[in-house]
Amino acid sequence: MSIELNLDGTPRTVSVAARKPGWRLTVDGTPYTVSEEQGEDCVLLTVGERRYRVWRALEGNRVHLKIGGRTFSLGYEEEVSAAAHAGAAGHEVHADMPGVVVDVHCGPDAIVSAGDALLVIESMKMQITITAPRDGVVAMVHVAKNQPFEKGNLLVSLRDEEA
Amino acid sequence: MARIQSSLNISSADFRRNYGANKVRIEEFRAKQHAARFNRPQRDVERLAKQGKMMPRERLERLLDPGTPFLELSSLAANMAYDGEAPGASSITGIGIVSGREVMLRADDPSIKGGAWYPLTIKKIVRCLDMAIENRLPVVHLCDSAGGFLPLQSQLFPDKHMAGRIFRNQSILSKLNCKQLSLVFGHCTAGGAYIPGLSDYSVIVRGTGAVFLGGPPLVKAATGEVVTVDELGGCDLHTQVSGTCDYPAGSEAEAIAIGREIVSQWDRAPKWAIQQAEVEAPHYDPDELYGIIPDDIKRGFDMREVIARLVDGSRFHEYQPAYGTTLVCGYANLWGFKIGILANNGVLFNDSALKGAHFIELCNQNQTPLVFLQNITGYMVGREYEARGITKDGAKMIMAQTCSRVPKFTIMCHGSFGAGNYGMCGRAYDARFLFTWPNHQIGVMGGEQAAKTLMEVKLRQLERNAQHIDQAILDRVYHETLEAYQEQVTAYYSTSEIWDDGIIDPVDTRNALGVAISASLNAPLGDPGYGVFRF
Repeated sequence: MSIELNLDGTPRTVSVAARKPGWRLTVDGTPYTVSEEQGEDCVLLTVGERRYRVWRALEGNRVHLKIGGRTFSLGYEEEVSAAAHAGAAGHEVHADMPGVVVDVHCGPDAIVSAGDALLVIESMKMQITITAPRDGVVAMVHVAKNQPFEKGNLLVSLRDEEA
Repeated sequence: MARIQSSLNISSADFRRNYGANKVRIEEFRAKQHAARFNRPQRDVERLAKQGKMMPRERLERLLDPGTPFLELSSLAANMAYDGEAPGASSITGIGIVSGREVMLRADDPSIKGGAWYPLTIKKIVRCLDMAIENRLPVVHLCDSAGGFLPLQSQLFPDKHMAGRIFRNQSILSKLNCKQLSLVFGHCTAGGAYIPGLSDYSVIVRGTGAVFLGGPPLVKAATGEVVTVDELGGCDLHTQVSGTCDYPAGSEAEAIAIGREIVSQWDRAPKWAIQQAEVEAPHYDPDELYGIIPDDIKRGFDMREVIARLVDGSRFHEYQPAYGTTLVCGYANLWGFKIGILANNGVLFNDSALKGAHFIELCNQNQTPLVFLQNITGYMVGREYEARGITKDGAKMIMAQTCSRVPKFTIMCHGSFGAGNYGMCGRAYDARFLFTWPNHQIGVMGGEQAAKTLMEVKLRQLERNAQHIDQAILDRVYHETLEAYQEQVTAYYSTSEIWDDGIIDPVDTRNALGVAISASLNAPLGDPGYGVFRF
């Protein structure tokens, strides 16, 4: 798998393959042989003919590096993002199942962020909070408290916040 | 694998309210558990001390490898039975490590009515031996029981899953090459005598240990023979003359030391090779589970938030994320073990049931154990859904789930009502382990629905008989039903009746599942194959 690395604003395609005793690193199509050994207080990294002293620390999905007087902080973004799951969130919130509105938490022109509670509905003895699928402004609430609705009915519509 | 992006707001009023309510619940649970484990009449504690006996938990502690986990099962069994006279159903069961081996431990509790077996004691013992069979675990029995509790003998002796099942299970275990060791600290009377009798190894303590089919009073009544306990079934008789027991011990501590040495001789059967990854702690703090679980059984919540606090790195590969969204399915790792999760995010529709059935088939094909996280009010009802075949789609899910060859684990996270309990691997479906959270409620339907249904039945009955319709009668039916329901739907009633393998603190779920999955790998995978799916 190759990854996209953005360094000082320049995107580079990088891949790493195991080649004992180290790795083969490819940056934008150019291969390098890389190996490392533990130094006294740092890692000694050999790239091709050159040697670097590297200090590094891991913090969750980030790695902090110090190489040749410069420091870098690299973040790793999952290839599979949560956004891909949900699909592009639309402006309309429809009912996934028939039910009754128990509570209305928003009104027209309310500014909402993704995840904010819009409505509480009850279906099959379970109360479910309907949340905003995206940031925006409530254009219209199509149902009222205690109102029953069918599957597929439009519950709330949103519009983009004006800049 | 991508990390779940939590959208939990830990400063919201909802979170804080849930957190507070669940903390109170957990304190109540811990207090009940502590009482069941340690509150004993002073008289019984002194009697045991005078006999030179340890308390049963001291024996266990000495037997287990120091610093290793012990997963206690059904710690609150019988908490709502027998007026609370048999805490823990007078026995301790659990999985622990002895001399480096994963073993099932089963201990009588002589600090309660001399360790007498109540009907629920038998149920707990049979269940723990069933688990040993299903997971191919060796068993260590810590014997010290007065025998069956005679006033309730009709509820503990005659039926298929009553006392006789203990010795049947011991025989099956032996046939499956699961070793058994009995440490005889006290009396093993009548049926109880077969526990060391059917064990591969037994150690008996001189002076206090005894094994016999009939104790001295029974012998005297039957034949007139007058004999002491030691002469009839003591340590020296059984280790020197009858050969019923193998090793004599001068004290309980010595018996435990001999027992540990015996276990250290046992071969370790290879486990099946589950996919494993490096262990990673969850990215999100499991403590936040308290703020997720609603204070109201009717409130739904996003089960992904729970998954994010159970699995390695909070990483989850969600399967069919856009289809049948009321059932969340996907792969994760827990303590490194690859698992497939099915979790309820609402009522089951046709598409969610089909997705569930399909995902179960994928996990069976991929040799991935299944973890079910239940919060379910049932399959969708109504004309439209019946017309689309909700019944046959639910049947497919039950078929795939029942016939699974991989081990299954169920956590009762919140509600478990109606047929959803079946599809999601409720008690009847042979989950290797089934644990319950203290907020859990279970029933064929919700209390209010049951009360209303019965009230309507009563109403029609009165109408049919052209009787006067008395609102007071209807109200009584409603309230009586509701009251009985409110007690019987609780997690404490459920665990009292051993409909689960114990209540656990939600934050302990990850570790409980880790021990359970590890134990399950001792048994080979079941045979592949299903029955007829109705398409």
